[in-house]
Amino acid sequence: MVVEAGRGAALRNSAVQRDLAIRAVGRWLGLTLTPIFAYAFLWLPILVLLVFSFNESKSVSRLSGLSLGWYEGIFANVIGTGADFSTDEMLESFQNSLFIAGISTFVSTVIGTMVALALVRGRFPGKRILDGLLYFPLVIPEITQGVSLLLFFSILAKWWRAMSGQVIQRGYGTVIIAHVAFSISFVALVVRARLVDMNPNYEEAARDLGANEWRTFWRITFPLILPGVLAGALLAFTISLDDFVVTFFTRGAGFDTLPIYVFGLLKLSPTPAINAISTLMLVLSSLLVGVSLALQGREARTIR
Amino acid sequence: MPQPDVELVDVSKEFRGRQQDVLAVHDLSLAVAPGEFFALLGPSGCGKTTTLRMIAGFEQPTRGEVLIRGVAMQGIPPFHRPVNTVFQDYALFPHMTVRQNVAFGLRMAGLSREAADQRAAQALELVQLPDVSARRPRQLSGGQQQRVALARALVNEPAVLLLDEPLGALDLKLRKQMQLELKAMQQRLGISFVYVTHDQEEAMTMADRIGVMHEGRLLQIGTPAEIYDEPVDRFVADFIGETNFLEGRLETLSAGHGLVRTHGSDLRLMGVVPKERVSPGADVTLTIRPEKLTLLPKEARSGEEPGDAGAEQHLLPVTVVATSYIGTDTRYEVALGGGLQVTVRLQNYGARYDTTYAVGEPAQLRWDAANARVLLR
Repeated sequence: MVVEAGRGAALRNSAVQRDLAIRAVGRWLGLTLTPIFAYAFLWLPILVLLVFSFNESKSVSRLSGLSLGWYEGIFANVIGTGADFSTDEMLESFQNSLFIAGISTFVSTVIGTMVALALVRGRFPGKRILDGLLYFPLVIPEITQGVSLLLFFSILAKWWRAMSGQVIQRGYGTVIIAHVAFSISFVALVVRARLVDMNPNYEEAARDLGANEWRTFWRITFPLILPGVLAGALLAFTISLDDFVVTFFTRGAGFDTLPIYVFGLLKLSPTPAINAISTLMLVLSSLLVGVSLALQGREARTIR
Repeated sequence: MPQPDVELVDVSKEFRGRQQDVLAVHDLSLAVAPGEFFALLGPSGCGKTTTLRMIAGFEQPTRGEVLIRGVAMQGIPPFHRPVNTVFQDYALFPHMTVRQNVAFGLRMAGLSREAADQRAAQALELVQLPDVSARRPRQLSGGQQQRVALARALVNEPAVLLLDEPLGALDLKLRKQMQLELKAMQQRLGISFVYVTHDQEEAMTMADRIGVMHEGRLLQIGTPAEIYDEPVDRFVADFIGETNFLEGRLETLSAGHGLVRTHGSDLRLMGVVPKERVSPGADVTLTIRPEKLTLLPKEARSGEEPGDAGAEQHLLPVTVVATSYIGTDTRYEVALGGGLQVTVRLQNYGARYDTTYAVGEPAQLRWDAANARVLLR
């Protein structure tokens, strides 16, 4: 009773009132304003890019009016102001991008899933170190990755020529290998998260009911981690599609991927057409990442 | 005993730890007869689940041998063993229907889909869940999932059914009901069960025999009555039910009875000495269940002489220290003198028949040597 009365008195106290007011303001500043600012910082440049893709004039810095002209141009086989570039070139580079992304995604998904299985279910010395190294490609600067792959491929080519006399050109093959190299980590991380969430008793129950390891994997483990595998694959696909730096170093001469094509456009004639292409890429990437996230979240609790 | 369904011979299991190896199971031997309901009882971490997992094949013993129906299981993986497990969390496959779950083992054994589905339907009828076969496990209640897990294991007609605390997740009322159902089903099917639990009441209710485990060792195997009335180990006496302990030194030993002089007082009490090597002079613990002690009014005489230590039954003068009424019976804490205190439980038959004792009141404690056990400390 004494304590209750004390609390009542404290609430009427003006110093307490003042303290509560300051806390309310602080809470608003900290918890409401800060994220608004941070998100504006994240999204404003992209918003500007998006808005200028609808610019009427050729300027990429001054908005004169809204039009769908640049998009119409892309679909009417004209990129830029004159007929400097044709959409066919862009589509060709886009096809290259899809081809590389498709193959590298398939390969890296298979390898990444196997790596995740080994890291979660396997028992071998050095597992913890390997587990940590899985994150490494995510934090290595892309330029380092690009240069190291370039050096690796030229050493390999030299060695191969000395061995067999054949010359290896950089091209699709080297780009795909490079994309597989950095995609494996992403796939493995997403699949690993799913596997860690998964109750190991399911696999034990299957073995208890007479399923050997192979059947246990295909009847139980794989269906249960499939959303994770698909999510990882979509992530790998998106990253491959968007990659510039590593592709730039490993592609050799003679073919472009979409990001490299856009970069070329930018050097020659910076027009809102680039904004339009970028916006289209953004929409596609967002879609893929959105599906990937949805798959990762889906039924996550049901496998615990 | 005929060929046991399961036999463990001097089985030990060590887990390689980061700092040191952990001995999870130590030289454990047991045999489960065909059709027997065997409970492995012990506190968490006592090695009972590890023992079960070695029978199932999920763990390999470090030493010793596991035999199922006489066949050594060394190196044989779980999917080739004629046993099935009911997991604590059921582990029903979430991406399959109940029917697919139950039919899984049969399909793995090579049965056609039709045959497997038919047998699955029968198994679901056995556990009284015929109408849920098209549903997913998570659409079922905990009790229903438990039954499905049981059907999924039993449908394969295993030589032994292994159950790892299968009722632990159910609420008390459902658990009591399932205990009786499980026991009835086990008796009807005649399949031997190895049932892991930390709940002594559950083990007593269902099991034909109980193995009490502690710190990786199997301390005692016996029927529920043997485990309760004739514990051979202090831990067993303490873990199962409520009991009194009196520390002392064994003075004499004759015809299976030992006379113990308690520490800190001049009391000399007699108890049964289990068949193990206890020699006079050894430090021992006397244990006796509270309901096997009786209080009598101070002046009562019932043939025995008070303080006649040599007799199998005798009366000891005591003082009531505390009482608590708990419905079926009343608990009395009584002081024996010399700082010793024991708990007595007197059943409440009805106001007309019961003699009650107030705190501070002197009374007499009847000690029956046949109910007291002398255990090595």
